Amino acid sequence: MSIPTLFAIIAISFFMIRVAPGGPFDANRKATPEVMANLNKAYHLDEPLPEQFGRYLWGVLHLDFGPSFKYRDYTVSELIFRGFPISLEIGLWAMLISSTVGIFLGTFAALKQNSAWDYTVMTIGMTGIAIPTFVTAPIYQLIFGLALGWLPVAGWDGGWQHKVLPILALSIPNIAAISRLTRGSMIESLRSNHVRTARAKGLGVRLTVTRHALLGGLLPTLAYLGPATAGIVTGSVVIERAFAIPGIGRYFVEAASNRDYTLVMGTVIFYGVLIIIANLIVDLLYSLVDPKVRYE
Amino acid sequence: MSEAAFELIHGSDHGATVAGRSKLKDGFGRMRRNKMAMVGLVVLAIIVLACALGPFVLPFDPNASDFDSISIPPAFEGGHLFGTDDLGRDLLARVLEGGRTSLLIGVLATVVAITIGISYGSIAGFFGGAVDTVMMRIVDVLYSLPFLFFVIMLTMVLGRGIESILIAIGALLWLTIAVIVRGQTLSLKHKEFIEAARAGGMKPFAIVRQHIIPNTIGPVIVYASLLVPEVILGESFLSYLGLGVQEPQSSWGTLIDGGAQAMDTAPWQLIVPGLFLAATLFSLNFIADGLRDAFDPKDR
Amino acid sequence: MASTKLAERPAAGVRPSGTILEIKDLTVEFRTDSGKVAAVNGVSFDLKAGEIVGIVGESGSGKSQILMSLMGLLAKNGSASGSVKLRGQEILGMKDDELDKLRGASMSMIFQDPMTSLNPFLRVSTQLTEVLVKHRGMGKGEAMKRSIEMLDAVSIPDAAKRIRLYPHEFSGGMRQRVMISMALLCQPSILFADEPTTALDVTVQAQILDLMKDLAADLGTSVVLVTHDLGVVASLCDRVIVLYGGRIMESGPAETLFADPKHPYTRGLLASTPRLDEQTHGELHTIPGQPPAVATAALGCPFEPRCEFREARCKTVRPIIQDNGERTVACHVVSL
Repeated sequence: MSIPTLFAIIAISFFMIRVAPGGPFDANRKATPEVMANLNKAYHLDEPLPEQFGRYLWGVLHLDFGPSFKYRDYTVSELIFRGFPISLEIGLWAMLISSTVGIFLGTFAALKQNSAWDYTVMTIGMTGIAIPTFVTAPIYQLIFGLALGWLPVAGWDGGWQHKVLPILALSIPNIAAISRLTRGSMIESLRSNHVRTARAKGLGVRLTVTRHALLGGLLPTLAYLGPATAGIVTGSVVIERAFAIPGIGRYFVEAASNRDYTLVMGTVIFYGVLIIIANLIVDLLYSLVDPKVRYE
Repeated sequence: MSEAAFELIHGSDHGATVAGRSKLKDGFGRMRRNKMAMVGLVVLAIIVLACALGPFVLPFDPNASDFDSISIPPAFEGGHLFGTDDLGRDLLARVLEGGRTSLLIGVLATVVAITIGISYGSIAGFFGGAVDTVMMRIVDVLYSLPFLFFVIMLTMVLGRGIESILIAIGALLWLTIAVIVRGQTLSLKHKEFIEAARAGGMKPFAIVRQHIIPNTIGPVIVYASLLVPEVILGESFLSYLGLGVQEPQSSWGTLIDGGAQAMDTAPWQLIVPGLFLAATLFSLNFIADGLRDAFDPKDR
Repeated sequence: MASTKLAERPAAGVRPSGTILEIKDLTVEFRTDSGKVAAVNGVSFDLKAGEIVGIVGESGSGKSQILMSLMGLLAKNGSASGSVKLRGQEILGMKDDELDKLRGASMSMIFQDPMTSLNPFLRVSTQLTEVLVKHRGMGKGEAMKRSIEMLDAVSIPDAAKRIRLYPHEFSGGMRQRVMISMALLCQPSILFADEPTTALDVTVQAQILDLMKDLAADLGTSVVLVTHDLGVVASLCDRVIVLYGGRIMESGPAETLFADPKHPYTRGLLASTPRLDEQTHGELHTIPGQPPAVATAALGCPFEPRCEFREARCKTVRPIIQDNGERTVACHVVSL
């Protein structure tokens, strides 16, 4: 499934950009001769379309997305791999924090269903989902950067101070989504027959929850981690702009507004690969937990 | 059209069959008891009304600069309730103007998405077999990438502006609806009345149009209520990145972007449009939750 | 059957016999949107050592809720009142952590649906051994050995190998065998069985019931069996309790009660059950009307609206329970 998906993403990007007005492949485009020469070299624009696509595909398989349309001295791959470590660091932290905190809060709310704790967690969850990152990020900057002066407002020097607010802003909506999801599925799991059996066996609350309720209750959450990765990727685009972080997201936005077509294509495909890999990992984890899937 | 859908569109005072009516009454009863949904409905109504009427009532032109009143904080004196921006434009007027854009795109793109989704899903479900497999495989592929990246690429192709955002979002957000409608169609297509229509010599597309689609509208409307906030969020996201609505037009996204840049000197420029956007998304989410709880008891 | 090996402790014959469970005036109520609703109303009975008691009733008669309340497994909006004594110890209103010392050890339960009652994510071995680890403090190896013995005892072939499988790799009947072995691991005084065969194929039902009966006898375990199937009760139980609308209509030894039913409801119930050993004459009897959705309010006899022998007082005066030491019946019209 992931191979045809990847192929489709590459094909869609390639042909979409081909028809874009003023795109790199637009015959009426007025580009400098050197760019033109580079493009001709990279894509063999004089060749028939299928061959050009084949060539691009072949390049992508070797992580060669061609030269950047705007930054003439760089290839798209160079730009991507310059930004990627930074984006990855923030993304992984956000993923780790949002899944652990989200699962904890969701389970907690499910165990205290309809209590004040439950309502508090759920209200925070609703708030976290409804207020988009591009509103919260500047507000965090306003509070922790400008008003309190605890952390730098924006920028990046690799120090932890510059990472706290971006990771926080990126994590909160996912914490909210994961805790809501976990709460729902945990409540269902706690009501399930096999949890009733565990209680009838006198296993006690702790063992019943950890061994019998949690496993089933966390499966939907586990499945959600695939889409959550996509959410983190999307969110990182906003975060990197808001906090002026030189990650892939910022290259992508700049490329989109500069009409740097090759860079846009390259980043979209790269993001696609990332998300596909995340989904594969989730599938693998899922099959480890659910014996029914494993034996199929 | 099913009773539920009919009444959702035309209001509950229209005639419907007795059975449909009581089911609907149950649904609306549940909806009315859902406090959060009702609060959401009221807040949304206020925002929509304000955006619709505001520009006619307010004494300020959202695009008229007034260099005597640049970056005034919110205050009663002078009439700039929510303050002004760097060019002395009244923020309330601008937020309401931007709200028109955001809400309009939210509704229109949802309509586009529903239209595509229903057609696609019902055709895939009704014809089944290889057609279904191929069509659903396409959906899987499109699902695998965050739709906003495709939207950004599409807007590069179509050129910037409200129309292309509308088309791009609408053209990509139909996936879930297609899946829902396909599922409904699969369960419907072996029902007796479809068999009867087929036996009566009705053409496949006519059956889809007259019998299948009307019966899938209920769940579609519930899901559409979830789509509207997603569209509004998507549009704001693009506009915030500078890839969506372009000057001189404004939307909540562009206003938030401008506000974020001016936040150290005039934080209200960020907070006011942010609050409007958040309140709208909140209300729509609560309404959607309420609708789902009220009309889709399976999910409770 | 490896019956002698199975019992760790002396079985029923040697154990001091007598009353194991004393239930007095048990009432189970649920809070709902429309106020408190009683599902079980003033139920009293005793359970003796080694005895198998059947509780019969239609769905909604409250029969399952009796077991749930005894095990402390009522839904969150439910509460039980009255008195339940297990070997003289009051267990109603006991704290969960105290109850957990009894559940699975002194009293255990098997449920209606074996397909969902086992944890689908854990191997059967884990689900069996954890009971012994928890209640008997056994080590993994010892618990494993004993669990395999137990699976052997419920006639699961190749138990030493099968114990490593997951529940979905067993058939429905096999899963219920696993459930039974799990419930009996600690040789409990009482086994509660809530419609244990309803979800199974008819051909498997008898096997499971026989197995339960034999094992209970070997281990000296008393059984409370809840069912709507009179045939099951007749073939298995020593004593029968007939429940209607959350109240006991009639009770007594299975043989005499089926031979000579007193209460109009019991008679109706028996008349509406097809029997293979008798020539049927015409149509099966049906009891007109519907059973009450929930236990009816305080006044009168709950069966009154459907009773063909009803009198004026049946609606307003609750019948006293006639008790001759062997049988009871709650009815104005008939007498023991």
